[in-house]
Amino acid sequence: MAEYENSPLWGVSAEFESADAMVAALRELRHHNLGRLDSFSPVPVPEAAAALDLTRRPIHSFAYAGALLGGAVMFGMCTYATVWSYRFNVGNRPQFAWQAFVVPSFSFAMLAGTVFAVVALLVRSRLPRLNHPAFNIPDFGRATSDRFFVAVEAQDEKFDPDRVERVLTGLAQQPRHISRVSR
Amino acid sequence: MASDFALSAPLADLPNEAIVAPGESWESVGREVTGLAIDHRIGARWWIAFAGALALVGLMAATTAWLLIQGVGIWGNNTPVVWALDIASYDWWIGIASGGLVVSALLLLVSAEWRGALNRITETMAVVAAAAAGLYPILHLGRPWFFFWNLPYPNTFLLWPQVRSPLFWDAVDIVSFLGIGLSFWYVGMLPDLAAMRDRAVERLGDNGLAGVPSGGLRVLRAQIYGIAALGWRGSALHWQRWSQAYRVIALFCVLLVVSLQTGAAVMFAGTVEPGWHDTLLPVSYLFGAIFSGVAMVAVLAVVLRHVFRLAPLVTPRHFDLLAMLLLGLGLINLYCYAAEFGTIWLTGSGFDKATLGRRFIGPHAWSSWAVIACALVPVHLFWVPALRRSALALLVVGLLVSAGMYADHFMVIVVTLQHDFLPSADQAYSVNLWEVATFAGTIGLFLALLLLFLRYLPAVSIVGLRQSIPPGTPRKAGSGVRG
Repeated sequence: MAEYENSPLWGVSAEFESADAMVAALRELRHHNLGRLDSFSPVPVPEAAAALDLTRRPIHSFAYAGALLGGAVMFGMCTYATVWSYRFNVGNRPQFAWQAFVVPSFSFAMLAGTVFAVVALLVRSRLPRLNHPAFNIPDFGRATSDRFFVAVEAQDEKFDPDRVERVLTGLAQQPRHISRVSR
Repeated sequence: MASDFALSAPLADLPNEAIVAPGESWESVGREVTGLAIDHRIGARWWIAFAGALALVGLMAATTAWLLIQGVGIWGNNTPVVWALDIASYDWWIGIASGGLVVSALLLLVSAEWRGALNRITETMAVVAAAAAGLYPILHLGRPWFFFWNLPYPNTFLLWPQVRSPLFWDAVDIVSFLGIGLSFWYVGMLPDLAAMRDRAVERLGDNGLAGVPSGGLRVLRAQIYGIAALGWRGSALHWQRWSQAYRVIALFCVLLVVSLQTGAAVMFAGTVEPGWHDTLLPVSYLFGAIFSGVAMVAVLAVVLRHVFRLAPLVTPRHFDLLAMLLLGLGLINLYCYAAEFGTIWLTGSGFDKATLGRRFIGPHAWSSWAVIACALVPVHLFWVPALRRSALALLVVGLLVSAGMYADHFMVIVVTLQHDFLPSADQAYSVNLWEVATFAGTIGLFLALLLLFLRYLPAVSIVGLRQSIPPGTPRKAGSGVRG
C-alpha cells in the first residue's frame, strides 16, 4: 500500500490460519495491554468475544424494551381511538374492547422489537461505515473467507509497534503475516 | 410431542453423517456460493426462467388493470361467496411465508447446524411469498387505491380505522410480517454480503472470463455489494452484536407467526359462519402454515440443488431431515383435521354438521378429497428411509402437499360461505378465469423475485455452511466428515 506509506500508523495486524491461534494471540496480547484489541473472522468465534471481554449483551435489552414500547403504543392507540377520539356506539358494546386490541398490539410489538434490534445492531457495531483502517490490512479480503486477523490499534503516544511485533513473533502458534497498518 | 419429534430428534439421534459433502472447506463453500451470483454460469437457463416469470407478471399486470377498470366483479366471487380464490390464495401465500419464517427461526434458536444450507432460501421464500400475499388484501378491497384507509393516519375526515375489527389485525399483521421477515433475512445475510463484496473486489483484476462484466460494471458491482454489506468487517464486536440481534429477531419471528396464524383463525371465528369455530383451529392454522412452508422449501431445495449443481452443499442428509419434518407435520395436521371433524361430528350443531357433509359430498367436495389425497396421505411414503433420501420423492410430495394445502384454504372458505344457514343463501359459485389468472400472476411475481434473488444474492448461507464444517479442513482431502 505505497500510497499510504506517509499516513499515520493505525496499528499492527497479524494473520492466522485458525480460530484457536487467533484466540491464543488475543489472550496473550490482552495480558500485555499494548493497545485496543480487535479480531476479524469469517464466522463468529465466541472465545474471541470472551478473550476481548465482550460479555455485555446490549442488543437484547434494546429489543425487549422496543417490543414493550411498541405493544404499549399500539394498545394505547387502539384505546385512544375507541374510548376518547372516536366514540362509536354499536348496540351498546363496550367502548374499551381490550380483547380485540391484543392481536395487533402483540404483532406490532414484535415489529417494534425487531426494528429496535436492527437499529441497536447498527449503532452498537458502528455500522454502516464503508471505509475503515482495517481494510488496509494486507489480504484482508480473506477475513470473509478462511483467515483470522488480530489487530492492535494505536490509541495514544505510548503505542509501541515493535513491542507488539515481539509479542506476536513469540507466540506458540505463529502468525502467517505481521503488518503495520496505516490509517 | 410430535413437534419435538420433528424438530429436535433428528439433530440428536441421526447417525453421524456429513452435513455438507466431505472435502468441502471454508474457502471452497465461499467460492461456490459467491460464484453463483458473481460468475452466473447458468445464464441462458436463468433468462428463460426469468422470461417465463415475467410473462406471468405481465398477466398479473393485465388482470390488475382490468380489475381496476371493472372492479372486483371480474372475479367469480359474489354474495354469499364473497371470499374465494382471492382470500384462499392470500391465506396460502401467507401460510407458506409463515411456515418458512418460523422453521428457519426455530432451527436457529435450537442451534440446528444443518439449517445453513437451507435457511437463506427458506427466508427468501418467506419474504417473497409475503410480497405475493400482500397484493391480495389490497386488490380485493374493491377500491384498491384507497388501501391506506386501513391504516391509522391523520386525515381530514377525522376518522379512525375500526381497530376492533379483525381486518385491522390483518393490516397490522402483514405490515409486521414484511418488516420482521425482511429484517431477519437481511441481518442474516449481512456477513455473506461482505463475502460477496470481497469476491467482487477480487474479481476486479480478472480478465477475459466468460459471463463476467467488463471494467466499469465490475467496479459498480463491487460498490453495490460493498454498500449492501454496510462495511461489515467480521470484527469480534460485530459478530457478538450480530449473534444477539439475529437470535432475538428469530424469537420475534416465531412469536409473530404464532400471533398471525392464530389471529387468522380467531378472525374466522369472529364471524357467525358454521365450520369456523372449533377451538383447535388456531393450532390447526399454525401447523397447516408450517406444513405448506416446509413443503415449498423441500421443492425449492430439490430444484435449486439440481439447477445450481449444489450437490456438495445440499446433501441427502438435508433431504432426510426435510422429509422427516414433513412426515411429522403431516401427522400433526392429520390429528388436527381428525379432531376438528370428529368434534363437529359428535358435538356440532346441525349447521356445522351440514357444512361438514358438504365438504365431502357437496359441489366443492374435490377440495376436501384433495386435502386428504395430496396433503395427508403422500407424506407417509417417508416412513421408508430410502424415499426420505430421494430428491424425486421429496419434489413430488412437496408439490402435492403445497397443492393440498391450497385446497384446504379453498375448502375452509368456499364450502362454508357457499351455504351457511338458510336455503335461500345457497348460491352456486365456480372458479372463473380471472381468478385463476390473478393467482398465476402472483406465482409469476413470486418466481420473478426469487430468480432475481438467486441471480444477485448469496443463495446459500456461507456463514451457516462454514459453521457446519470444521475450520481448516483441506480441500478435497476427505476429512470433512463431522463426528
